[in-house]
Amino acid sequence: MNNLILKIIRHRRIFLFIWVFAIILLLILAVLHLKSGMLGTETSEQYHHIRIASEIADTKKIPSTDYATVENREYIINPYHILLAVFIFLLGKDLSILILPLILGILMLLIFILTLNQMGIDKERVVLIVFLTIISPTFLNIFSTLNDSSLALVLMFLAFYLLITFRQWILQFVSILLFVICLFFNLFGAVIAIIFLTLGYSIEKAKAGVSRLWILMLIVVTFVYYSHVPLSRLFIYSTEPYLGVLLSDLGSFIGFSTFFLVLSLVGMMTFWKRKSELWLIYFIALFIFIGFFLFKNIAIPYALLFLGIFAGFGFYRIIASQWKLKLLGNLTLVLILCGLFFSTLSYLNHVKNSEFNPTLLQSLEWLNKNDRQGAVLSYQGYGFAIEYIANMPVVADYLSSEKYVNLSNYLLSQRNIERFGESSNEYGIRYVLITPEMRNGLVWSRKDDGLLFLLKNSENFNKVFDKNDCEVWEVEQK
Amino acid sequence: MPQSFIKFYVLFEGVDAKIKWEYFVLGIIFLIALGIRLYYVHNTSAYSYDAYFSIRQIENIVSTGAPIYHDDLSYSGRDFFVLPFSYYVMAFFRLFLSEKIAFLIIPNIIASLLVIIVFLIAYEVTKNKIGALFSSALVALTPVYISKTIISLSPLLIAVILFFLCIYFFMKYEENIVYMWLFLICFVLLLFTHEIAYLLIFGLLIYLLFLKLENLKHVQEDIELVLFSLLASLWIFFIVFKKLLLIYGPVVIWENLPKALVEQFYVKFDILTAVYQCGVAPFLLGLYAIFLYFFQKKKKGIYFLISMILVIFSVTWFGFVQFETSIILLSILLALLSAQTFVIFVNYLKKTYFANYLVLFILALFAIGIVLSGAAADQSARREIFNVPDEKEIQAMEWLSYTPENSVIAAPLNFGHLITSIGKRGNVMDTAFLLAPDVNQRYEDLIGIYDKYTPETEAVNVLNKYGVTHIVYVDDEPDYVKDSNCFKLLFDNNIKIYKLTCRVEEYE
Repeated sequence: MNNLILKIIRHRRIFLFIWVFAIILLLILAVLHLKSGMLGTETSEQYHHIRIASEIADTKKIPSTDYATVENREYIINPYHILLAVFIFLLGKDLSILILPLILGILMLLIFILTLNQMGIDKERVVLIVFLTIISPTFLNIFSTLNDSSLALVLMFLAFYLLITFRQWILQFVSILLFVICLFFNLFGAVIAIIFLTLGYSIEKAKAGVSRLWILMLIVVTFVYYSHVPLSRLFIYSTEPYLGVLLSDLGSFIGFSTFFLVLSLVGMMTFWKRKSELWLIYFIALFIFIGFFLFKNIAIPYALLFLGIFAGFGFYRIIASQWKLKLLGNLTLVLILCGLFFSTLSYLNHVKNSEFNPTLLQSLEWLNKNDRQGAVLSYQGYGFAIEYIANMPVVADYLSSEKYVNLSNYLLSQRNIERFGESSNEYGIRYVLITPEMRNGLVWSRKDDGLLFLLKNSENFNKVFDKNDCEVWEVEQK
Repeated sequence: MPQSFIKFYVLFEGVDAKIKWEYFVLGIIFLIALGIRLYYVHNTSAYSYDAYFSIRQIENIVSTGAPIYHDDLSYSGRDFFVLPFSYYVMAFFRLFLSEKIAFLIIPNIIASLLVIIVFLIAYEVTKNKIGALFSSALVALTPVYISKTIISLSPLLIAVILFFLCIYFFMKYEENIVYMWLFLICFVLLLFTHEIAYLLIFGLLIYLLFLKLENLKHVQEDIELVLFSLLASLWIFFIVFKKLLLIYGPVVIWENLPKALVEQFYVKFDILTAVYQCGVAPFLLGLYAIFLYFFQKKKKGIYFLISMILVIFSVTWFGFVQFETSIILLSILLALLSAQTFVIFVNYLKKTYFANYLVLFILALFAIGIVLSGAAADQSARREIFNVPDEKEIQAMEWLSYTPENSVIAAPLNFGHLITSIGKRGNVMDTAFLLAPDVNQRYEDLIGIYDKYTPETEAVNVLNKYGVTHIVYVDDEPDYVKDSNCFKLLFDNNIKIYKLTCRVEEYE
């Protein structure tokens, strides 16, 4: 079995096969997304990206304020929104949604392979690294949906590749410029970009003075830029348990497959003897690991390519070792391959089966069609979808500051009509949107919990939409 | 002769046709273990409350060839999560044996076989026959093992046997490759029997770490076998538990127990309970062996057992495994380690003036071990036997089968499986919590309707919510039943069964 795998990965046209395989996989996912007609489930972050990008494309300027919530928060620039806006401007919304992730995915693979070659990794290991990365649910998710990490990764690896490959000052300057752009995605990405630049300089063995100057400059820019960003915007998103985010086998869309992680672990152990030489790579891995506990799903895309490298080495180690128990060795390889493919297929199946709640969609379209005014109070996770589909502001979404998240929770758990009335008047809340999921544990666990009690017993609310227990209530303004 | 046959032949090559004395003693220990178990079960015709779930699964396998994956009776309709291997084993015996023999005698014979496996493992570790017999004797009288396997028909029974077979085969596989395959077969079967399979794999990983830390020589095959087992278990885990993981996420380890019950089943490690449940002798002797080999001596076999203990202890400490399950495994592992302490003690005695009285000392050690464990075992077993459904409860459940077929019965939680198994009627709730709907709400509601002071309308409202037609009261009825027109008494033999005749219309 191991000889067969070695024979395959040494085949002279193996990269062609990998390209075709990657494109087919990404196309399958594109078709699955196209079939659903929506940008993922109702809690997807994609609605946020497409809304902002559409606004930029329409107005041809970068907004300073985001009016999507009652907070009217400051818009923090994200390079991905600008790129997506350019695509929307040129190709239209529907085509951009399909094409942009695909282009970034192909670019990423190309740059990744070039970088690995440039780092002197032999062909067999490069093939395995790339193969394992492609079939990882994390890669498939990042490069088949609207995800700002996709651009961040492409830019970071491109910058790194330019830095370690070319000596011309102009290309070195372009590389630094790309690293600077990488700083604007999120704080975690910014820190990774700085470490990456350091890694690049350590490989290139550049002059200490120049390299330190650039690294210092990146640190200063990061510090200045993020010092005025509210803390709640730096540590955002998932409230799910850590393992639920980390493992795709536990239902995470962006998580890793378990076998991928096991192989990465084997790879790390393989290199442990060379830890003094590769300390920076281990440091990045450790940083991402710690970062995962703070940033959860923001850290995962950055971990992908590092873990992919370790996984490739780990897998190669298993293939190339001389097993004493030969039959067991063959069975182990079969198991690993089955496990890896099982995760990929399972992810594809998960994507196929996860759809936007149809009645929620109807209620949002109803809100949009009727050109309603005022803000909507609902579950924080639906925030992005309400903002984009209903085109109405919400009380809180995943980017809201703590004050507005607390406000949202306070109102949803409110049983006092006067207190609810005060807040709804103050923030212009006109509608309350409720889904069966919210009633069954997402927000409330009993049928008379919090606001449900008021909706049932107060005359200040009128039910204006009701389909399959998905309800929109209008709040009477006083 | 085929190669594989030769390998199997080699396995038995050393076994003398003449019965050796240690096998004779082991046989006696086995018979004593079995005898004790049969002594407790001979007067009972009932099983523990939860055993009725297993009985339904087994009977279904006998009649249809497959376990019940969807049940219209439990929770008035839900899916089951089942690891089926143990049910198939029991169903095999049920095919040609009567219910009493298949469900009461055979499980106890299987459980008693553990003394033989323990003897083999202890001998492998200590290379001392008397020490190994000492371990077997302790296991034969382990209180928690006896009480939890005597009438429970739990999958844990087969799982424990497979678990220790895996340990034995893993220790032996360097001698003969056939043991490796036996290990793998038992391990895969264990994966389809009980979640303790994953404790075994963690234990193996810790064992490899131990060998590395202690600079003990290990063969490459160890790593290969553990790596394969790890990957196999991971893969099977994600296939078998996929649905559960997607529904519950990582908290699936608490088996979807109602929040109020989690602390009851997953209690934190309590040292006094542990001593009582394991038996004083194995606990103290086992701990001494751990202390000795942790800090002073080195031995691969002992490290293997210590690794298992460390893993089981840790997961129990963090509340990841049911306390009873882990204490069963811990007690047997400590009994195994006791063999080593026994050998050390005997070797020490040989060097003292008491060497002439060695036999007396050995007999005294056996006696102390047996008396200490035996007393606790007796108490635990009696408590377990006392805690089965009594005749009146069984009668009441049998009477339920005369109610209309689509009846839904509300009863205290432990009656859930009795209703579906004996009464063949739907219940509101039982203890098969995985994949069950709204367990927290149902549990709360169930507690509410048995609360003495619950208002009648509220009780009827809750009963209506679950479509309940009949309600079972084991103790005194709550106040709302008395003088009520909504509850009509249909059966009374101290267990009372009422028919619900009212509906509360919800005000909208």
